Amino acid sequence: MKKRVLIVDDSPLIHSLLRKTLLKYGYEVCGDAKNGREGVEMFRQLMPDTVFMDINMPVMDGLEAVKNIKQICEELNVKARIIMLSAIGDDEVTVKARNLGVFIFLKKPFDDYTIISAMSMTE
Amino acid sequence: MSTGVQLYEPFISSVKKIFKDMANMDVVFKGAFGSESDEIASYGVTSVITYTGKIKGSFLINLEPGLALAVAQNVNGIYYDSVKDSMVLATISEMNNIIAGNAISTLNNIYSLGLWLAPPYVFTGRDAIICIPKIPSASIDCQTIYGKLKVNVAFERSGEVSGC
Repeated sequence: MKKRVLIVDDSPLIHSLLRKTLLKYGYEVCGDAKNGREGVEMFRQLMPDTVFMDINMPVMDGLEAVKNIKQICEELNVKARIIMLSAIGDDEVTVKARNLGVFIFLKKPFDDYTIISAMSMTE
Repeated sequence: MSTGVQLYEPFISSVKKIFKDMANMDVVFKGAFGSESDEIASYGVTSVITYTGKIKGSFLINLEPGLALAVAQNVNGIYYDSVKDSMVLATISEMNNIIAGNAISTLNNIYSLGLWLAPPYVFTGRDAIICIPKIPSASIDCQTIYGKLKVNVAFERSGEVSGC
């Protein structure tokens, strides 16, 4: 069964590039959200296996969205791997993300190899 | 440069790296950063992003239309015939975000500036006058095989900054 992935990012370019890579390597993109709040709502509806999450987004940022998703996972006793994908990746931010439960932190820009390596680590 | 050349260097490195990694383009910098007037004339496609933290400022990239189209084509692997195509604008906007994000991450790690980015904006229009807020800024002209580019960095100190 294909792994289901939710992409949460305010950039149409990132959605397009990630989608291309994931589909090419046999993953299913089950949802596209353009901010953290949409991402949390879609997570609850779709229950993906993996979430690609940007940090800097309007309405709700990625760190706040991760907190919310982790709460949903606890409530419903489900597991989801969150891969943070951000242009901002200083030490303080990466530590904050890890402490919130982000599985892997990747810095933009990315290539196919980076994305697929990260996905294989979630399995 | 009173704000410190060290603050500009991460942006130069980031422009070079991101244009190469994402668009497979070599950017040649013509000279060094020089003080910019309050107004910049757009070459055709311009993206601006602002940041705040212990210092505030903005980062701007100003591209000729041919260069913007080539960047979008190289990044997406698709031909575009207009800079007004939404994916062309999204590409330039996100590249600006990534360039600035990489640069401020470096600055945060070295100087603990706590810098954070606002969402970028992008617009098209040749010779549109972009008015830079009244904070010191510097520009550097760049060249690629697809056209020219200007990079502008502005910084305003907002308080206690040491070491830079």
